Amino acid sequence: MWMGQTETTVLKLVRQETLDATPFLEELRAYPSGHNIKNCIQCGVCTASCPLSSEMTETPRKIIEMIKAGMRDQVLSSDTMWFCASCYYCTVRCPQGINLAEVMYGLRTIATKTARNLSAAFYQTFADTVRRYGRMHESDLMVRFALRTSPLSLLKMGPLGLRMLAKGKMSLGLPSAIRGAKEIAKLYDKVAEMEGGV
Amino acid sequence: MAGPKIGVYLCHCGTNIADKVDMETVREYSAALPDVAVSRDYKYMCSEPGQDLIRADIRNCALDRIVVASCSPRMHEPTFKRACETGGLNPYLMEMANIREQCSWVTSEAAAATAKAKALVASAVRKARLLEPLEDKTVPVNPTTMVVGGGIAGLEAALKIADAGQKVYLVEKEPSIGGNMAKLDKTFPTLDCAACILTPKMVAVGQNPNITLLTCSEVEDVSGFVGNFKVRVRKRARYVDVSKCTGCGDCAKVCPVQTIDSFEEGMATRRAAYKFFAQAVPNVYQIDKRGWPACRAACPAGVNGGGYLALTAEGKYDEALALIRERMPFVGICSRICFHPCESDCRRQEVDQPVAINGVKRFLSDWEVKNNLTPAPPEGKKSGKSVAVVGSGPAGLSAAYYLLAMGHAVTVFEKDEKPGGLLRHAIPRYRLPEEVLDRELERLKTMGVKFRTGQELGRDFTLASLRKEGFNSVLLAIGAGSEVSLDVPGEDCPGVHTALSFLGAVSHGQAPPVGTGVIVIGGGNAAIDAARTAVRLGAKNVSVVYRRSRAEMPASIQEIEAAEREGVKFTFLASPVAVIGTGKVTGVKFVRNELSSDVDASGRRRPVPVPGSEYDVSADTVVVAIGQTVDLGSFDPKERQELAAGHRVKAGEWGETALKGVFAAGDFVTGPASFVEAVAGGRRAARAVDAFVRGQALPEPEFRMPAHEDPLDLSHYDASPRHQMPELDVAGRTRSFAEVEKGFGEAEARAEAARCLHCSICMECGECVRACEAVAVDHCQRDEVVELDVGAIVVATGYQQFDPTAGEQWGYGRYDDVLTGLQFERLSNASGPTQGRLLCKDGREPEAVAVLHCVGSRDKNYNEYCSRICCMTSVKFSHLVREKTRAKVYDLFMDMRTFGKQYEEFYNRVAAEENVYFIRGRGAEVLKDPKSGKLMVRVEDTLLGVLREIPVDMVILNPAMVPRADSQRVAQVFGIQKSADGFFLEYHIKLEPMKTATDGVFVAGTCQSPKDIPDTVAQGAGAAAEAMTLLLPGSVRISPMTGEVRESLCSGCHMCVLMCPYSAISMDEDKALAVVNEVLCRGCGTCSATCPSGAMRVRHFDNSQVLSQIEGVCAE
Amino acid sequence: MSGKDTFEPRIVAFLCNWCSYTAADLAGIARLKYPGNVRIIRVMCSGRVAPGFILKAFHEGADGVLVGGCHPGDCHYLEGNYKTLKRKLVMDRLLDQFGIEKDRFRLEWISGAEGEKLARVANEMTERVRRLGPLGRTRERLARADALELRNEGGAASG
Repeated sequence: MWMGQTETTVLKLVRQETLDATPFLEELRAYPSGHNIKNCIQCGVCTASCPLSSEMTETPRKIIEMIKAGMRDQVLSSDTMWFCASCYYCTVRCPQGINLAEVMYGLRTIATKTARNLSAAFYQTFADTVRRYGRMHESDLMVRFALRTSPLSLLKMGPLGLRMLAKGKMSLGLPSAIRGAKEIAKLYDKVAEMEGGV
Repeated sequence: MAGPKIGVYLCHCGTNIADKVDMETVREYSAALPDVAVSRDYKYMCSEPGQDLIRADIRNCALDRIVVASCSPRMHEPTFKRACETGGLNPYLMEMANIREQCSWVTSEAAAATAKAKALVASAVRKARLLEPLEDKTVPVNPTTMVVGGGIAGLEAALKIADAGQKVYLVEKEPSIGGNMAKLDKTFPTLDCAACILTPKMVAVGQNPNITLLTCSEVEDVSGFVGNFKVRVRKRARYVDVSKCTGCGDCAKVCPVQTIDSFEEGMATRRAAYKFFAQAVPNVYQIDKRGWPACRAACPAGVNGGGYLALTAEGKYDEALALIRERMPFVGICSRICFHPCESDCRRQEVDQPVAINGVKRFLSDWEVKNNLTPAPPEGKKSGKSVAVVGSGPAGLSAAYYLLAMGHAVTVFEKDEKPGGLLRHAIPRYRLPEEVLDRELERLKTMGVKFRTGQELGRDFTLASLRKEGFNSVLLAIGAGSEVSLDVPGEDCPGVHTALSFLGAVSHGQAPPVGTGVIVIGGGNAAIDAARTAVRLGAKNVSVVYRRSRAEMPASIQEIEAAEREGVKFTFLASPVAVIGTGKVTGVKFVRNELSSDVDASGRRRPVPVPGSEYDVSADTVVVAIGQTVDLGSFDPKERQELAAGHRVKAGEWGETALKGVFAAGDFVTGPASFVEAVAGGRRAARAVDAFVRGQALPEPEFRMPAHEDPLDLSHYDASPRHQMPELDVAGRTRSFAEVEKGFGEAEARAEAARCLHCSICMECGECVRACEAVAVDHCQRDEVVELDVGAIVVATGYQQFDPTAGEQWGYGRYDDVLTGLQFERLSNASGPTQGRLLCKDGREPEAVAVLHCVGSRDKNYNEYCSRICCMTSVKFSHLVREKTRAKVYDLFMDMRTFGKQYEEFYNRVAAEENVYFIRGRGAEVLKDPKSGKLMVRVEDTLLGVLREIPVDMVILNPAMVPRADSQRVAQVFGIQKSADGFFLEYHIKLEPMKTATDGVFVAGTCQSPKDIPDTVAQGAGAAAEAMTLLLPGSVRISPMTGEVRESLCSGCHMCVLMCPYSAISMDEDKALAVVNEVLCRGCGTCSATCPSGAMRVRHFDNSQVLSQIEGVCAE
Repeated sequence: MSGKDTFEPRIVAFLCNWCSYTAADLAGIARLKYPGNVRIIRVMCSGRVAPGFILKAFHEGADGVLVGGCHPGDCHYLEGNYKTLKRKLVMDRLLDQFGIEKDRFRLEWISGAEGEKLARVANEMTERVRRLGPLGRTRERLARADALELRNEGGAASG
């Protein structure tokens, strides 16, 4: 086998004019614990404490550095924040007292609202499905996700979907109703109200 | 009269003030204030031209008050005071307004800052108007300096001062000077060995005639003021006479006690007799004694339990026996019948169970008997006096032994045919075989005690006849032989016995027939003795009936349990009402009891009979064992009146009675008590008798140390259960009076003795005393408290390491081979626990080592500051590991702070070494790989952006330097403040790093902030310079801002006298007015605030001045 | 000093030289910000602050008075701060009788290293007193009270 270029994002020269950290930092300041990101001294304890950092494309520490450098698009398209398991080790151990877990939540919210990100779209679709039916419905989820992002992907998912049907992991009809479906919807409304403009 | 002429000077301070405060507005404003003759502004008032402005105006404009509006007076008040002085104006006629730190720097908007500046200037002008000229006082100073702390900072300061010809006291808490630096192996960047560069300074200090070294000493209190401090120092007892100790170490070789060595950072043990480290100065040993062990403190006779356990564990049985006999002559008896309060208090129970101290004593006794050893008789020069001891129970025999040891002729009178008292006639043989008692009596006879048996006081001789016979003193030890009766009908029925008469008859071989059913009434040991005896006499149903519950039973638990095993039944909460039977006992009528909530004289709940609950129990024999009282029948009425009040003998603390030359001891004085208390009482009375016959006053109370009660570090002890005393089989033993306890074998006894925790560290076993040829050991030494007068104090108390146990992510204390920096220094040091070899705990050489920076520093979770030295230390460690092993080294750092002279060059040299890997990332976790057993360090290699898990055999943590644990107390003693990080606060962080807020007290070294050795030495020398600057002129200027009494207003209420913390105010009794001692007064002003008439004023801060300032700040 | 829209309270702060005054300097060195309403008067020890000073401050137009001392145990003159505390407790009751609200008179322990605390206290107190409003009529009442006439013209009560 020939050795070729890896698939990771390779950054070459970064022109200073393309980077302005202030707007992104301001955006994050609206979230709890987004106020002291600039204190990060890049020690790497967060990465080394995180149980999932080896799965992420960018380590948590690198994400913070990218935020500080103003690389908004790259941050929002990375998969780091979607891997966060909320174990809070990073927050507990950070020597600068940065609440990284909260920063990850903030990044997810921003990504969901503003970025064209597959993971964000998946999360959104999941949430919509649960709101609609009060429970998960796999076929609804997959169809809506595909329609939202890339309809042709439905074809690719076809074989998987058939196997799931065969094993009884998926059904094609509408799901049975739950009691309290209205309460679930109220929960969603309340959260939206609490989030306000955020 | 013309008013004052005030000059106002406004400083721009470059742009520091001028960029916020509108200088022209303020200048105009000040010019318009009343009495202001001149108002100027200038860029830098503190500069030479600025000061010239003031001087010129004083001259040319005849100014007599100056106001400077600039930075904080804490910055430049001295500068402007000097400017006035050199300009010809009294320096106290100058007032400052702080418009920088407290105005321009803290106010966001210019308008507000300008308004505030105006107010502050107005305030200063008003006060200036009311200022008066004052003269500094000069006070002579004591030229001696005290340096507190014998680490490298303190040593440097002391040497510099001493070499300049001045006297120094160097006070060090530990037994030797040297501090933390003495623990290091090599120092960076030169890799000089720490001991090589430190010890010459230590020796120089030890030998310098101008330095008085006080080690093992701590400062307790400081009073006085600059140039005139009074310091109270506690010199802790070393238990070694320093002037005699040659440092030979023979004491440590024989000391049986091991404890954790703090100098070796917990990685080795040392003895209780020890030298702090090999190159200690002073080069002497000391003994670590924290008090008496719990067992010794609990023993009524003061037998040194811990001491003989330590000796037994080492196989030194002769010495152990001799130690016991200092307080307990009868080893065989004691080890069989004592209720051992020592074991109840034994601190081994904090781990598992108490040590079988009594059982070990039993082994010693058995060993002595088995080997036919005759203990050496105690030697005492004959005094020519003779003493009569009446009664040969434990108290009498003990008194006889000690009286003989003190050189007196002793004759013991005993009414029975054979001596021994209750030892022979009450304690059953299965507890105390007769031959054991006889052996002790033989020994007494061999020593020279004369016994006259069959002689009863009152019948065969009297106190008067003894006096006539020529005895110089009499000791009454006749016990408490009169038994308490039940006082119920039928008690005189045949078959009802009292305990002592029952047991006495059995001991004489005349046991009464007991029949089948025996009821013993009572709850003490006598009751149990009677019950177990009854079992052996063949009774099938033996029961003990006690009126309270099991919890209140006074008998020893061992005895109760042994009785139960032998089939004795126990009934609680029942009292006899009547004995049933005519001509002979057939049973007893009982009533059930309840325990009431109130408590009787003995502190136990009172039993109250439940009406209507009577019931009968059948029995053939009843033994009443409810207590004894003293029998005074042997004395004539006059003697009885002198001796006793009612049934209690009146005797003083030493056993002295109202009858001259007559002393009393044992149960006769105390009422029924234990064997050991009787022996103790006999010994105490013997000492009093000894003093009396020699015509001396009663002896001094004997030296007792309190038990050591502080928490012990029990983490090094594994649970090991107490050895159980081997006993005869229960089934067989009740058929005879053979001794039940068999005693420990040698291996068991030594193992049991080795369970001792050495709770007070040194146990005073006496081995060191015997080993020291210089006779330097003195266990009776006490702490000495001295008051020293000094003029200046340098505080150089050093640092301690952050304890990484605080963070479980580092694995310290959980995994072996995770070390702190100082622990690694000890490992690497050639005089350390491994002689300098770098080994894991299991003895292998490591193949990979990780070194972590910033453990507990640069971390808001612990300490925010950078500890300054850890980067260089880590690089040094990496180098040392490579020098001594073939291990790979991984140095995990966030930044590399190698800032000092030749530091970067050192880093570059080590970075180039083979197999040293510097990884830029903070070590986050140390884990253990369960498969390989290796330690695993997780770190992000941030320069590569990847997570790394590195398997290593050893992890070295570099913990932060932190303030010492007692730094809060030390700060308060010396009047030093602490900065936010907890280190001592310097007067100015850039310009005055050795001065503190308290004049005359200086700081040096790591107690002020983390630093390396070069900086520490520099600060030490600097502090010496500060002290000498203060003291060499011979006198010091004292502030005149002190209290003053305006006599016409003083009403003599003396409230101010009560308020002054320095006792600087007193009452002039003749004039009934308060008087201020201006040398003692520090100018706090509390007296003035208290004075109801306004008579007391404080110069420069008096009421009128402050009130005018208030008007000023509110004016704008 | 009252502004047109917002009332600007005047706060007189008596700070002890060794601790709280040093803390105020430290706040300045760190460029922390607090309102210019807080005017500092230096005394050597908080124990110097006589009850009369506090009343005088209110009398002269202060809307709030702050006294800063060393933490208990750390007083440079050993016990001055304890006496200040005792006086505060009595002053609280006296001021209450004058109808002066409790929040207008505050005692704080501020060590020489606590610049942040000084700034925080200054900010908080300014806001609190601002909400309480000017002393106003209370001040007039005070002015009429003879016993409180503490002017600087010599005489028995001055000095």
